[in-house]
Amino acid sequence: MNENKPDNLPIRMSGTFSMLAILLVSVLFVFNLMFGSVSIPLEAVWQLLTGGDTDNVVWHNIMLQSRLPQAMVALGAGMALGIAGLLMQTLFRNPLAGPSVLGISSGASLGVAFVILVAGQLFGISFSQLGLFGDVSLLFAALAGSLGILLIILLVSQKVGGTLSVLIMGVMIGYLSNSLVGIMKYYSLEEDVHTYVIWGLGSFSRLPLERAQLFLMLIIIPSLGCLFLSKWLNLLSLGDNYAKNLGLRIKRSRMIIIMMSGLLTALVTAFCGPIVFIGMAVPHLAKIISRTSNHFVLILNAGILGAATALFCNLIARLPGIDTALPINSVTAFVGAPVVISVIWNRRKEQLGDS
Amino acid sequence: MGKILELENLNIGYTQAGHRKEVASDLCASLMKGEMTCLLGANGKGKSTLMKTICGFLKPLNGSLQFNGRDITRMTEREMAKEIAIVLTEKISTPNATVFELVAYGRSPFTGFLGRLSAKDKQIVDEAIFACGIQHKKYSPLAALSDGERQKATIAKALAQDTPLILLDEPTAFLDLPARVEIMQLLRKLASEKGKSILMSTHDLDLALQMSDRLWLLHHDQIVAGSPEDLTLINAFQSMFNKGGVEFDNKTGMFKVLYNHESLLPVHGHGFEYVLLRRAFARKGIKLIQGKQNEAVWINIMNNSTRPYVLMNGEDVSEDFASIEETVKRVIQQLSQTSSVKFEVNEITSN
Repeated sequence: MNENKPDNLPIRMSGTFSMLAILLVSVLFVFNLMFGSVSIPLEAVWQLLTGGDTDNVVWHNIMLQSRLPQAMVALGAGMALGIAGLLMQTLFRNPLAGPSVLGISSGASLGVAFVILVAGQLFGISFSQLGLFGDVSLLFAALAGSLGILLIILLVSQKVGGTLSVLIMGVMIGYLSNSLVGIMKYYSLEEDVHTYVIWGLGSFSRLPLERAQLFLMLIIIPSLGCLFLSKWLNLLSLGDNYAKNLGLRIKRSRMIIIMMSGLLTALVTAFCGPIVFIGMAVPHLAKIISRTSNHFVLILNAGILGAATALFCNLIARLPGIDTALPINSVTAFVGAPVVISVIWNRRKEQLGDS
Repeated sequence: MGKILELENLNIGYTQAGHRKEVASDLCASLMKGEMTCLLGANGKGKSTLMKTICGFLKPLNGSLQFNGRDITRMTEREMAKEIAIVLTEKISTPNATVFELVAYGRSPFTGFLGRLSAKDKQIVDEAIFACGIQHKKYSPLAALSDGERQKATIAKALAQDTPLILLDEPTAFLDLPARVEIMQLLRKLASEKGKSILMSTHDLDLALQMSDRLWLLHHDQIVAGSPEDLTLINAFQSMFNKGGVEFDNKTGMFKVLYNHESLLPVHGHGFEYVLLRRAFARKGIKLIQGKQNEAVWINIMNNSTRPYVLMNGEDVSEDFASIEETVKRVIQQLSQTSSVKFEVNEITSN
């Protein structure tokens, strides 16, 4: 094939952008290891990453026990949320769809609330003092909660035809589980409520290195699997009727896409707490740099940019000069909300242009 | 020529919550290969329902629907995708999509798991774009296209799908007149030169009469099918479209609006000016009649004058006008004066 053919132009240009984005992720990853309440020079980071000997044990410990797992979790979580958000936005053909909108994050919160607030009282112990066992049960509760809500959404999406109704159902289920959590909070011990609130703020820093590695593996495999959904997503983006006319089995493909994006969201929420706005904002950034409607490219870029965004937010949260890290969700909201607002702003302009 | 599509005693409609809502019943018709057929019918007669049934989105309530001798309801999505391509009224709003990408999605039934295009696929896509006359917009994003260009791109997508039958649901709706004509010419060309069978629903009766090979007139309980000329001869349109205030004129193939005439105005003269003058007055509820009777007011048309319209008030008083608009205004002014006089007289007598 002649590579100069303009057919390939958008792909090649977005390829360049993707390379730049990967470079950005690497730089941000290294910055995440370097900066914080203690600044560590680049050479020490390099020594750690290349597996060399360490000159400074304190630096080494800080990176290995705190910053490296944190950066790995941020990378994985951002990637998963970016891809999950893109899947949702295409499936619902709605630029404001995101993992949290479907109620999956709320489902995870419900599970966690049950463990922290209710189970603790039933057994007469406070989970906040249980250590590792408490952590593990927390993770399972989050997974169970998100996948439970996901199953409800799946059933609803089979019974109810339109994607919009499924979206509204998701929002309603989110409200319901929030109010359930509110009731649980009301009858709980003060320290348990405190624990739950801390979890709800979201954090990339809960996992030690081994579990951060496991988390990253658990994220990367389904993320790569999503690339195989790209043809379906391309067809669904034309609208259900056109997709059906082009031979797509709508129900089956829609189910599998919901399942994948739900799995990614559940994983992240279970390990990091509910992380807002990344899943909604990153797909828009991916569409801007991709310049193609092909989801193979879009998914790749959403993953890369999601990782970059999460690393960037994590960096901001631990800016030098601040003693304790800021809650990550406050930072993601500050980074993500302007993107979402600008999307709505541009849509308004388009609508004005139409009339 | 063979039949590509055959409807036999077909009942169409929706099933909602176990409740059957029948829109049209006992439809029998056939679609010929390589011909352009227009489906006409008033709103609510079930044009869209029929189209959706043919392309498999709705199941027939009863009767049979055969594609090349095969029952359509027994065909899988993949098989249908290679036989029938559709163009719908819904707007495609895929973010970032260019014309090339949209048309390339038409190749989906033929591409593999990741949708990668082969050299042959790319060639077919290029040909489809060229056939629809939008090669200069090949790399434009859809959002930057005019409505007409967007419609052509959607038709190119259907063409790239390489199916023997293309179904279009009101492809000329929302377009301005030149774009309507262009789309119809494009479809005409696809039928004549590429041998595509085309079925389109439309409200553009005048274009359908001129450009389609056959028409399907959809009624509640039947489809009247035939060439536009034959249907004209059997007065099919009049029985179909005649409602209060509108009449189908067989000679011109156009609709005439009927007005209730409240008063008569005699005219001396003839020619194109007379036809236009009559039309202008008809809008105002005034019927022109040829020849002077004994009325006090009439109009003379002087065909070669620069002020051809002369309003006569008796033999002696005359006013001449350059435009029809002025003439109509003056006449209405005069009539309103006389009628108000009559009104007062009536009131007095009724007292």
